Amino acid sequence: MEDSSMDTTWLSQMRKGILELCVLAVVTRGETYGYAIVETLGKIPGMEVTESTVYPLLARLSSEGLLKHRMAKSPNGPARRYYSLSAAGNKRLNELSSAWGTIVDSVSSLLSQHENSVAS
Amino acid sequence: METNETYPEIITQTINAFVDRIEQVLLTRGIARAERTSICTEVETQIHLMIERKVESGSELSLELVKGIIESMDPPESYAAPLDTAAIESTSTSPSTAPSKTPKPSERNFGFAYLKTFLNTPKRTTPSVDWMAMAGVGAICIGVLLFQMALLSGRHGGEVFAVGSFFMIFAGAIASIVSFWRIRHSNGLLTGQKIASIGMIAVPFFLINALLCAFLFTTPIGYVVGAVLMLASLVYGNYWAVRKVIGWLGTYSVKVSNADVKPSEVRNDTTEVSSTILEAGA
Repeated sequence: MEDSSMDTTWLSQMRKGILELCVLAVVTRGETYGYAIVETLGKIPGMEVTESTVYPLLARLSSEGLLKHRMAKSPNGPARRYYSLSAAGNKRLNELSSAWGTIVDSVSSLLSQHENSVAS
Repeated sequence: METNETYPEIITQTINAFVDRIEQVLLTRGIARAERTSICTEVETQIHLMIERKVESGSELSLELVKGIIESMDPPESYAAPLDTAAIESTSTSPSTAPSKTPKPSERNFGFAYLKTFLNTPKRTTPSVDWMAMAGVGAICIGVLLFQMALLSGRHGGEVFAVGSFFMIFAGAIASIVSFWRIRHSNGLLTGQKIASIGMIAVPFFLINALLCAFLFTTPIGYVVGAVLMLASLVYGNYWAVRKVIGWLGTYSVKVSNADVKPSEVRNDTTEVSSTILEAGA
């Protein structure tokens, strides 16, 4: 997906809306640390987020109690934070997933109607 | 933030300097300590992980290696954007084309750079009263004092004091306006907005009166004209002050109503997620 071919503001807003859910979805796969989340999200076409987006969000989700973390010693550098989903985070993920499913279905339906009308 | 002691000192210092710059940016934005610590720890961890991977792949640990790693990361300035949107905006352009450095002073227009030295928020960590607001009001007070001396002095001495009063009040007004701008853009690090406002509001009133003193109060008709203009300036000054107060009250009520809305509620309006991630999560 090339940013240059579409309205970057629209794309930015869409990324902004889905980022929290993306982070929660990555963490729900299993305990993980910040840089691994950045790498995972960075490889997803269309997302391409970097650390200055993800780390502040992780900090906020932790302070809101949606993520919990434990510290683990690292051979080099500071102790590493391993994140996992709290009960509140799990509930939040379900809510957002449900909303996302509804939106995807609705928009897909609209787009298929448009494609049918173009084809006919 | 402190890095591991096993690295050479220069590498440790380089990493610390980068993380400290990020923390400074976060501090300027008013981010809470716990979140600042969390973000800085993550950044530091990432640097160490990247160093480890480079070393494991055969690269030699050196200052150049660490500098290269740091340059490949988001610059500290990218943490200045509101949470959740920082690098989203920056990823709209490729990392290679995104500006990563603040322009050097020598690259800027000299006059603009000079003005920026006054407009920039000072680098500090605790809120304090803006000195320019104090200086502005101080200059206006001196101008008022000169104004009084002009009234009490003889013809020629009075004019000298009146001209001095005019310039002091003018300088005070400019300082107050600049200070007001600085305070509004300092993210709470500068205080004294009310003092700066007083300096701004006092301008039309005292400026007109200083001019009156210089040009009108030397003749009998001047007293009459001066009194009328003084009354007009007084009415105008009060009108401006009332409008300002009403404006502040309006802004305050909007801020309070916005503060009642939780960020999570706002985000619920834009709940979308990548299907790739959802499948992975499921």
